[in-house]
Amino acid sequence: MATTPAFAATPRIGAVSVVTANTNRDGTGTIATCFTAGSSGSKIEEVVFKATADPADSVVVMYLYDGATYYIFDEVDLGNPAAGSTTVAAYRDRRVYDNLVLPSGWSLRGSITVALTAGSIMMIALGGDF
Amino acid sequence: MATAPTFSTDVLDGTAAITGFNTARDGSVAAGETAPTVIFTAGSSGSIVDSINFHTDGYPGDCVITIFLYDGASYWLFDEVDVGGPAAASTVTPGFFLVRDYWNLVLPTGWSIRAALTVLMVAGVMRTLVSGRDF
Repeated sequence: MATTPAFAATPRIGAVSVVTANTNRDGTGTIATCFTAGSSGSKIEEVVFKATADPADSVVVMYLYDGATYYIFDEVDLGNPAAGSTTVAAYRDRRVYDNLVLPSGWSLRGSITVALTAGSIMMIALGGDF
Repeated sequence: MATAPTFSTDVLDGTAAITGFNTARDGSVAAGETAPTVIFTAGSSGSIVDSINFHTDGYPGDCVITIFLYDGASYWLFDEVDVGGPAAASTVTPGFFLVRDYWNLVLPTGWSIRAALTVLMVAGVMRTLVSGRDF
């Protein structure tokens, strides 16, 4: 057992563009890798979901992946937001996590249940490496 | 693995002025448009950004401010500010002003924050003040 606490040492961002529709929730189909843990593990504080144009009425499905198995971890209901334009901001949401640690070898991944009408969803994880 | 918490050290205020316009939300630049403006660059050990102030000395059109994270190669759309169609600044009317607060916006070294306006301002420029700290 450690005799000193472990702190995140290096800021990290993981980002990926989620585009391809995948109706599954069991880890099959197209799933994008957003954040891969560092060699000593990582902590994710927040995940931002930012549309670049016009998402359809859909859900973003998030997984933790241990290198062999997908574990569904969270879902974000996008609803059916307005399209972004030069005068309208496109959809944005975020999830804040108090205790989302990733051991080395694990990753945070995401998919979307319905193809976007236009653009993509930027899935951006903010955290740090231990 | 770190055995002590990482504290931020230097307090930073990054200032910039956004001019021109860019209708894209992927960092690309069409003919006649302007690339997103660098408004903050991470320090050598990374940085954390607490807030971004947007204020104008003039008259923005009905537009949106797009905010990107840039890793040195790719633009990642991170946030947008809907400016609406505010009144022009004058001797009796304050100019558009808005603050975005962020709680977990860390930037690894090599990353920067960049911003653009989707519509050319009618007059003046959009100024930014980024409050943050280096690790």
